[in-house]
Amino acid sequence: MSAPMLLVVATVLLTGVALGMGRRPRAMAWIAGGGAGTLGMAVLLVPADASLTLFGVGIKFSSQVQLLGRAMVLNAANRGLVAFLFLAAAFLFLGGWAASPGRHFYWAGLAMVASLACSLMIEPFLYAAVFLMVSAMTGALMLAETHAPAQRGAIRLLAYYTLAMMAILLAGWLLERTGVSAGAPELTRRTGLLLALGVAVVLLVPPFHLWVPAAMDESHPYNVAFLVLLMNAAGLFFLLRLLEANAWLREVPSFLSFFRVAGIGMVTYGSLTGLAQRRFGRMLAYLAVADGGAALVAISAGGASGYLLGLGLTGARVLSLGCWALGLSVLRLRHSTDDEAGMTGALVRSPWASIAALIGALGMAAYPMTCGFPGRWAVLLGHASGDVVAAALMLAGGAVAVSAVLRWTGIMAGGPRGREPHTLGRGEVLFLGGGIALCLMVGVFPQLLFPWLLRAAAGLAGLTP
Amino acid sequence: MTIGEVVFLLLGVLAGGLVVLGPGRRWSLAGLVLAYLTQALILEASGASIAAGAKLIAGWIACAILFMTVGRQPEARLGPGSGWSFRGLAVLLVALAAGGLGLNGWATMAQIPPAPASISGLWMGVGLLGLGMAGDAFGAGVALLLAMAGFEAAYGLMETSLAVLALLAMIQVGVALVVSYMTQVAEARSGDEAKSG
Repeated sequence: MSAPMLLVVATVLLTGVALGMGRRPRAMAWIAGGGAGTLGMAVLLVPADASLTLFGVGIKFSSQVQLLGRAMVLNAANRGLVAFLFLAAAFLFLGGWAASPGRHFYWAGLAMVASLACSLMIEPFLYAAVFLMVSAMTGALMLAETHAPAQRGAIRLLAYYTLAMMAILLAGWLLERTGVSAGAPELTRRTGLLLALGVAVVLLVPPFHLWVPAAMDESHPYNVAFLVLLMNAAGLFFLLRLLEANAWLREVPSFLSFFRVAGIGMVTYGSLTGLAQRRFGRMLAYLAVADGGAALVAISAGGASGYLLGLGLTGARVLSLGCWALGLSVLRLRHSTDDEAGMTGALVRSPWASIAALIGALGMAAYPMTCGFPGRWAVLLGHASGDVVAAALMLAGGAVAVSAVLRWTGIMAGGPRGREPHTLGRGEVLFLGGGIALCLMVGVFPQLLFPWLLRAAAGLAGLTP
Repeated sequence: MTIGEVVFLLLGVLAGGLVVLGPGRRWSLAGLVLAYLTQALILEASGASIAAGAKLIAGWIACAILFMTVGRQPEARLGPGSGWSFRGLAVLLVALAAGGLGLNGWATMAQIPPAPASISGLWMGVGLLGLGMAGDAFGAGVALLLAMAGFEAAYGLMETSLAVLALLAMIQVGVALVVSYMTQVAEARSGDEAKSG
């Protein structure tokens, strides 16, 4: 039995179940979350190419399958990353129980996870670009809800990923046919430029982030957060695999420098623009850009610790962005809008949802004691000795992001007193409380999360010791 | 340049112009149909018959999906105040620049012959311009498909893998489905608003 094929078929079956159960979204949250979680754990724990005995029956999962001349491989190099995608998606699917996302959330989300997993399993892996495009298509469907047709966000998402696909496919062709190496400077420059363009799109490097605020204005915030988290994580994994498979790329100083400058720019730009936003959801979009920039700075440092920190920041973002999106979704359901007028007094009327949204936002801003802080602090310390300007910009970016969250805290705590509080179900309170607790626990005890992420990165033998 | 290449070039210019400057949705779709035919003829002329057939079928399926979405709706014609002359000039300038860039870029990178290289650049440039000028999901989707067709007109001559061809064909049809869905959603919403307003 082929493990990659089994994984894709099982996810597609789950997608079919989700499509069939469109009218029972809460049951779907359990099925999609449980299914994706089980598949993620299976990928992590079941060894490929080794015989297993299950209920007295011998089973062997082969790590490879051939499809039309290309291979799909699930081995030690990528299983941790594939498992990460499934487990992150499972976490968000379960949160969907309280967030009440759109009707396409579960099935399109599962289809997206399947295509992102394929993007990590395809060999040669530059063909991942095609699967990233497929995931953008399912993402566009997820954004185009009947009640809020996010035409601008969805179209921008499609357009940007089409550009990325073209650039990466061309670079892949050059790598495969012309044998690019550090010894051929012109070819190296051209391939590096194409790869940088493709990676910049999938990592939300401005101006390729513009689909996020547009989608946040028109679509369900939980759907947008799901897309940002998973597609950004897959983009980061793509960059890591690219660096692992092409040692010459690590020796081209301008390639990593580009991402370093882009990362610092993202932290500064995302934080400043986030502060200027008049809608709570749009601030989420820009702080996500800033957080993505911090991961990029970590990776562009080039060492094994930098790669691991990049993964660590991505893992922490699942918790902080997930908690924020959950809180914001519940708030939007009750306050109908997320602008300043709509959010005034939210902390009094919907305390659980407001606290979840604010704690998640503080996590994204890397405030101490929240899940985003340990990783960001480590990146900062790593740069403090070498590049003082970069460290200062990152520190300032973090301070501005925290000010943005504090400004919204003031708005949410303000307004006239004595208004009737919104009632929440026990389940909703449980999910919101769980999100808050996780964000704070990982902030205080980062050792709860980071060993799992080290395991996810363990397969990248060319990058990690 | 041979007569065949001149014919490809003329067809390519006509297709690109129709997609972006067509006076209505059906004209844009007709331009896209012509673009896929031109793309298939280019690939066929270079001996890639299977790729030509696959791309023509996938492309026309994408066009059929889009036609089914808008075919029964009354044609929304552009009025005289819609800046046709400005759009025409912008398309002309971008087409010339992108065609020239395509000619140089593709030839340097992969020795692609002049006609497909120019057409590829032209469609990609004009498609991206159309994406920016489009006022709705349908216009943006058709322009995006033209840009993709432009890329594939040259990439199809370089990459011979059946798997990649199949995946790219699947993406074309997938984009058409997504655009069709978004168009229907937007129009259902505007219909509801018209009823209630």
